[in-house]
Amino acid sequence: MKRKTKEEENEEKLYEKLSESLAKKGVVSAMLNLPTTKKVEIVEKMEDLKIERDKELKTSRKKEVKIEKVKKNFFLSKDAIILLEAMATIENKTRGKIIEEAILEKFIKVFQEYDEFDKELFKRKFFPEISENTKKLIFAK
Amino acid sequence: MLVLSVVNRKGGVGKTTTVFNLSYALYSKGIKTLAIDLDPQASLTTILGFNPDEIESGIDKVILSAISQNDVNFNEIILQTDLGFYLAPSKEELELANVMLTDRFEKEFVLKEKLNDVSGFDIAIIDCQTSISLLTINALAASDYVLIPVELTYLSMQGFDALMNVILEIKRNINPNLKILGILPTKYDARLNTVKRSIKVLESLKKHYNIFPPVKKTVSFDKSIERGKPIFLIDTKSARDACKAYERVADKILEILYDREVRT
Repeated sequence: MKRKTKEEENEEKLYEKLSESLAKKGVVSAMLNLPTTKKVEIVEKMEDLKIERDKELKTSRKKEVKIEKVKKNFFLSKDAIILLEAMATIENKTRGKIIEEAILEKFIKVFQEYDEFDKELFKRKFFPEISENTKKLIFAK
Repeated sequence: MLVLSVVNRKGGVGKTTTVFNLSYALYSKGIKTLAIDLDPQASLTTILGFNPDEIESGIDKVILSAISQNDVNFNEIILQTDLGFYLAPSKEELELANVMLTDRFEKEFVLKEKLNDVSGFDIAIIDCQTSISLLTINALAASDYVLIPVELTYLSMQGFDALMNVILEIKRNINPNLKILGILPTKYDARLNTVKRSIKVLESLKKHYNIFPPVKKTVSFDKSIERGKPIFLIDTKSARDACKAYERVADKILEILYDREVRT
């Protein structure tokens, strides 16, 4: 196979950067389209999924099985993506645009790591955000 | 009436060609279609067989009437094209609007206000100018959907990325109901590396955007423009291939129109 030249590698990096930037904007755009009722509905659904996920993690014997089930039921579902969008929107409305950008940046990073799922990383980065910040904000309304 | 803007910050990506062919595709499917030429270059007006210098009243008059005492109704300027659908033509005087409207109160909403007078159409398709001018912002403020034609080159893809910043700002501050209908890749030539890379980027974006099939690059488009005939009326194999992408966009719009009708 032909080796890539430095120029080709640089060009590829440019396109990768573009792809990341457009993906982020696509998420923001989708998130801005969601009506409030839908956001609340999604967050509630996600809470149910979280409970199911915890149950599965407790009952499954093998680690691989756990991960497969978790992937199947949660991480590859569109709901997870929509939730990220919904949360960012709610944060936006509550605290203003600057915070939205910061939070979104964090969420997008997590979202981009879905394909190479790491449970610990997910727990550390994702769930604390849901339980600590967003839930209160949503249900206080 | 559904309002769709066809927009990209990069020139030469096929905005006017898209409006021209999409308007015809929808009209052929029985949709009452109004094409709006919101570009002072008046390319769409010219392709459709009108001489901008000889047109008495173009969209410039409608827009500029928002800052004068002389109110011009949008319906007064609409012309029927030989192809059957209707056109709100442009003249180069439209360039003035970008300057003259600057101080007007709610200058972003002039087109939206004026479109309220228009009735009898199912859809208005706006051909936007290349720059993000006050006219383009007016188009986005008045629109339900935006369609983004993207030439498969790095610079055009970058134009799409930059346009997304504008669209997000419009959604946040001016028109929260604006939605992205999709991305229409244009001038597709599978042999080129830059095209392959751009397609790869678009493939990776499928979960975030509706990506339409690419419009293939063909000399039939030159024929189509020179003859003022939509690509649908050019009888070559390459033209028939190119039609498929526009058909898909038209079908998507039909779905939206149908959903709207069901809901009302």
